[in-house]
Amino acid sequence: MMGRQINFYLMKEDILEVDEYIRKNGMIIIPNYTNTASIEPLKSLLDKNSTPGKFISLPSVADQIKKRYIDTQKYFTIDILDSPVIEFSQPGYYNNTIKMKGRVYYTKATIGNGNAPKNELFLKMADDFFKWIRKNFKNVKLKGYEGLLVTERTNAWLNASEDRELSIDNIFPDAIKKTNYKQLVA
Amino acid sequence: MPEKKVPNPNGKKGGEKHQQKVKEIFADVEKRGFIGGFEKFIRLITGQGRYIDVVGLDQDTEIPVEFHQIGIQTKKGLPVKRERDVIEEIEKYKDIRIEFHAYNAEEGTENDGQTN
Repeated sequence: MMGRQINFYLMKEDILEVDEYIRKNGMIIIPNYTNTASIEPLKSLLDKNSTPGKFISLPSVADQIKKRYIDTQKYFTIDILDSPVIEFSQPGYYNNTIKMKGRVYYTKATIGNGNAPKNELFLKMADDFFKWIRKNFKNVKLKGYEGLLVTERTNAWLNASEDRELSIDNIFPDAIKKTNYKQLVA
Repeated sequence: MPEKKVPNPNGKKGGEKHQQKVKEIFADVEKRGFIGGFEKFIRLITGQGRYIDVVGLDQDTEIPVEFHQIGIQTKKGLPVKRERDVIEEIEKYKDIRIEFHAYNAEEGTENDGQTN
């Protein structure tokens, strides 16, 4: 499908800067999992009352955002492939010392049914947003993390203790085994 | 001048069948209560990057716990060689299991590039 993405390690202060960019540019933040089909914007990417996974869009294209009802889970989710939205994921920490990788991601065209390009206004917003991320956050270009954005604040966090590390792809086989076990006994 | 036949007009985006299968697997992942994700980037020990078509993330920890690759299978029902190589490489270096889904399962087949 080849969506466009930036994989990153951002600290809370970095995300507040992203929040500010979103506010200044009239963009909206939408939670992924909701009890209703309506679009109810959040004030911040750091909103703790919403479920994991947030999307960024524009009020002017909000009526083009498609939601799907997941009957087994009793909630609505956003159809990222067919909606003018950017996924923003900022996972937390593993065992408090390993910072997980986040990303922004979107597709320029809808997927399936002829791959129609997404709304022009949305594509311009997404392009500007990606350019701003690259320009605003200086990448310290950490060895072993080539191609991934490691901000100066993240590097400072990392260097504050020898116990700390950055997860290159958030894969933790032990945690996977535990989750699979939970699923089996549920 | 005769019109040139384009084998896959979607290029890197993958064919229509691939895309539909991706959507189908993604919907199944979400149905079972995981957070679905597309094209998750992982880096191998060799330094090379790979994208996993669909992953399922645990809702509490946001750790990917399911990995799905979509592609073509051979007459024997195995992933074609290029897919097998990628799957084996990821499984070997990451100690995870990748589930393969063929989008040509009903039609059947492609030569797997091996000489018997």
